[in-house]
Amino acid sequence: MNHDELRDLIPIYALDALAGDEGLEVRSHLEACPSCQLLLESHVQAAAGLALAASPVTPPADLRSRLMTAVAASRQAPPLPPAVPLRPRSSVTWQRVSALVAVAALLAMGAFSYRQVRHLDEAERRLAAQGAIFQALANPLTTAVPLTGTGPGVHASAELYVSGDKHTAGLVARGLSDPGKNVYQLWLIENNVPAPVEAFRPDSSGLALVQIRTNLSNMQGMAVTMEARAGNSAPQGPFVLKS
Amino acid sequence: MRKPSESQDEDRSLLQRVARGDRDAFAALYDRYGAPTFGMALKICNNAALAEDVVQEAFLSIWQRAGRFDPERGSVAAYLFTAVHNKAVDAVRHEESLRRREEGVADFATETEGEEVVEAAWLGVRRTEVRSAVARLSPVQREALELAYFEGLTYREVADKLGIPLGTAKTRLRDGMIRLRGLLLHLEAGEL
Repeated sequence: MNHDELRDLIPIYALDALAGDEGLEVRSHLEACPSCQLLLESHVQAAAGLALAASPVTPPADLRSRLMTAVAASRQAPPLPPAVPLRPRSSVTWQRVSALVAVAALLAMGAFSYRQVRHLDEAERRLAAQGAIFQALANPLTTAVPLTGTGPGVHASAELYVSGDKHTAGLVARGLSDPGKNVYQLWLIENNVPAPVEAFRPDSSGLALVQIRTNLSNMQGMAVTMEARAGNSAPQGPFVLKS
Repeated sequence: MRKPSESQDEDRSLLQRVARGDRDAFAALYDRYGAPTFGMALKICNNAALAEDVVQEAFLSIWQRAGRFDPERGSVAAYLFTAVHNKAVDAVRHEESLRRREEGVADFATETEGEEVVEAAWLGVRRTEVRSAVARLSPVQREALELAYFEGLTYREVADKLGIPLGTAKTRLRDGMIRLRGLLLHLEAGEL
């Protein structure tokens, strides 16, 4: 086969649907043809997409333990050079205290909209927090869900504080960069589907306080993405924070 | 246009740690992709025990070869799906496997449990997009791709099964793949 004939077979090769001599001939050609390698990679990506057409099925729990046992007894091929080290984490204690102060302020200003909260200055926030922080700390029914920063939010962290009746919550995020023309979008995960909650921007210090007034009884998780615009019905931008 | 997901960065980070022998990272990768890859393997193998073997072998080979993964050549997700798909197809093409798959598939729930919730939700969005793209293929292209990908048939076997000339089977598969790749382009290469 000539180059064009072999190239024509690459989409089928990516499906692993060539057999015998044809498969061997394409494989041999690929070793010497960078342009066909690139073409193959794009088709492999498309073929892998087909996998998502199948419904996910939770494998039996013992498969995981069998796999981990096999891994423990198995040797690896030599690794590549070490990757970039993970960022150092701030003190958990500081994060917790900082978050509690911020969420207390948020809860104390429950009657305010987020826009109004944004425009309060730091002194007003602290004043508001003083009265409410003890209430928040004293309420054993308030639960906290940590969110971890990633991607553009790698230096960010957040907690979601959920009221006991699960109908009110406050997200406190710190370390967020100015998103420029983009916005941050909070997503609520229910039934394995992300639903938009609210778009927001942080203040100049990178702090964002977002009030959530929705039923969170069926919440599976929360995530924040950076989106080109507010109002997307499904996430399109990169993760910034996730639970 | 969706930017390359930061979820991919996490996948790459996990796989880099796996390459350094980090079993926790390997477990995290399995927890993230166990359900979608097992679902695919089950659909191909039509036999739960066989699908388990396939997923175990594929993930074990990922553990062994993680150091050779080249992130420039695609996403970790595509790498995992391709590894499991290849094992599954090898399995169903094996004579003994063909006998076993006749035993049928166990009644598994299609709900995910072990996946990380956020990852599952994001894969769910991707799944919807892929299904939408597949639905936009012509019926004959879709049929041919389904037979090749989920039944592990070669194009010659697709031709036999459908009673069509070899050239027609090749054309349907090739054109279907080119069309699918175009429809998925908005996800960008490596975006799965």
